[in-house]
Amino acid sequence: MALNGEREQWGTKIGLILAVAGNAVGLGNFLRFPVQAAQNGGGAFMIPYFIFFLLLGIPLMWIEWGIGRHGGKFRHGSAPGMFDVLWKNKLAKYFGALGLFISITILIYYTYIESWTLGFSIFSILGLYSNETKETMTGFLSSYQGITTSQTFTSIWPAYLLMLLTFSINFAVLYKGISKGIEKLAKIAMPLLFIFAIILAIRIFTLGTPDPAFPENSVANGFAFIWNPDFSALGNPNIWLAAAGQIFFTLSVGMGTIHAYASYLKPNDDIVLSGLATASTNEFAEVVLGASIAIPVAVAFFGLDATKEIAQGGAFNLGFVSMPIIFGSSHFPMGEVFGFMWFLLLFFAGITSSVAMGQPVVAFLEDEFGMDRKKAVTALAIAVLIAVQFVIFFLKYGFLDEMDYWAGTFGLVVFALIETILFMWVFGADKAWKEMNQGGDIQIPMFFYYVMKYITPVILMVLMIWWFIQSAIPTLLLQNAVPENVPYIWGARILMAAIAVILMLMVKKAWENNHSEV
Amino acid sequence: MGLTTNGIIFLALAWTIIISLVVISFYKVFKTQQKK
Repeated sequence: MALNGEREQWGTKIGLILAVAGNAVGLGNFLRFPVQAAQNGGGAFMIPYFIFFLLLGIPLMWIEWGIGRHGGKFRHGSAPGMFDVLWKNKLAKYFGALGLFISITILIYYTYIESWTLGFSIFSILGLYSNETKETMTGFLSSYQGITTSQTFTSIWPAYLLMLLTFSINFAVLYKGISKGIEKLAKIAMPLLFIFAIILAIRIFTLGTPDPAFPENSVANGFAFIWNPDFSALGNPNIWLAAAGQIFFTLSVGMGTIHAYASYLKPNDDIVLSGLATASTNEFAEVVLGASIAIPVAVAFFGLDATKEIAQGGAFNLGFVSMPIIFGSSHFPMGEVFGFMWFLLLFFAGITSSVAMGQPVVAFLEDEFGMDRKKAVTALAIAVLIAVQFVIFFLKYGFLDEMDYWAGTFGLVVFALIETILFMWVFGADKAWKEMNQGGDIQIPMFFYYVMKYITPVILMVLMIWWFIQSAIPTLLLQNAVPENVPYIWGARILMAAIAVILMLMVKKAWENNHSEV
Repeated sequence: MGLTTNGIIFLALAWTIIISLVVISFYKVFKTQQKK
């Protein structure tokens, strides 16, 4: 049990919705989704996308809100305590430790990436890049990351200082607490994010054909690339799994963050409507705004074939190489200002997610070890600052990618599957249903009772097995690794194993101190 | 190339569904908040 007095609470319902939506809206909404849609059947991708939104996304959101608010009744703000009250078994809390492991591991590398967006917003307004080519902009990015050197960056220290600045902002927000820190940030950052995204989308709509010498390179063809349906793609199971994966990742489920936020609700506060509002806000950011910026403008400037290549190169290539080339082009008037908006909106999307990733460990230290918030945030900041050094200095050896695969991809699905089984099967579907609907401003349609109990866990199992066979085995066996990177990849694995062991030992210690073992 | 009729239908449908969800859910949030 928690050792201190009253737990914190959210100030307003809209603040809570914006904070949870901020957790969900991340870099993936603006960079991953349009690439996925364009590569997987265009408009036809939206058919499996919406089906999985109903069968996977919305149910998981409600399950996590439900587990979180239920755990909060017992003064638990993190998954170990929450799972312990759902399942009276001494192993439950150790399964919950996975929720701490995932959030802290992603926080370690995500905050570094977030600092790039802050850096690039400053470089945009200062006009540090203009009239770049693919080669020069790739060199600009890699020299900023300390992988190479260029005329602009001769060392990694600018990136390091911006990382420290980003870390300081993140931990200052966490230090201020739920209402005065996280909620206040969401109330400022989320409206600004939407304003910037709407301005950018309108600007891109009105770009038409930037270079009349290439009439095929137009915004209209960019929209066609994303939205013209290829119905034959629906026969390919990989398209369906890609849609399920996109829905899963975009809502930021499976990492213990929604649980932590929901634990600060009162037992009769609504979670049904709040969950629906946050999921809808995330979808608006992704499908309406995310699909209207990066890919359409890339087609308008580079043409369809080059954009397909860019999309194959991944989200970072699109965000940090192609977009700066466009904003630095003479065909994009006031590109410095629009580039500033683009990277700042990514920064806002990032920071509202990263503070959410810090909260489960802070809540764990507060609730299970009786630390005050300031001590808990300081402890987390020190741990993350030590671990991020490896990510920064070993970036080119695939250190970050390895952490992202196991914590940010595979781990999320495993955790989501565990929590769904614990809540809907071990705790009991009827009790879980009552718990989720308690105090609801609307009631969840009965259809979802069966979806949560049967369909959602089956989809999660299929996703897990698919990823395990398709990429976990080659990743585990380092089949595609560059030989030079192998020692560093093992280093990333040792770091992750150390984090997991330390968290398990802390859970054990906390229960020895405060709880009687079951 | 350009947007085909099917492309326009998919774009319009997706946007309508999502914007409707956002408007309805936030309308209900504000309405229930006012009642309380």
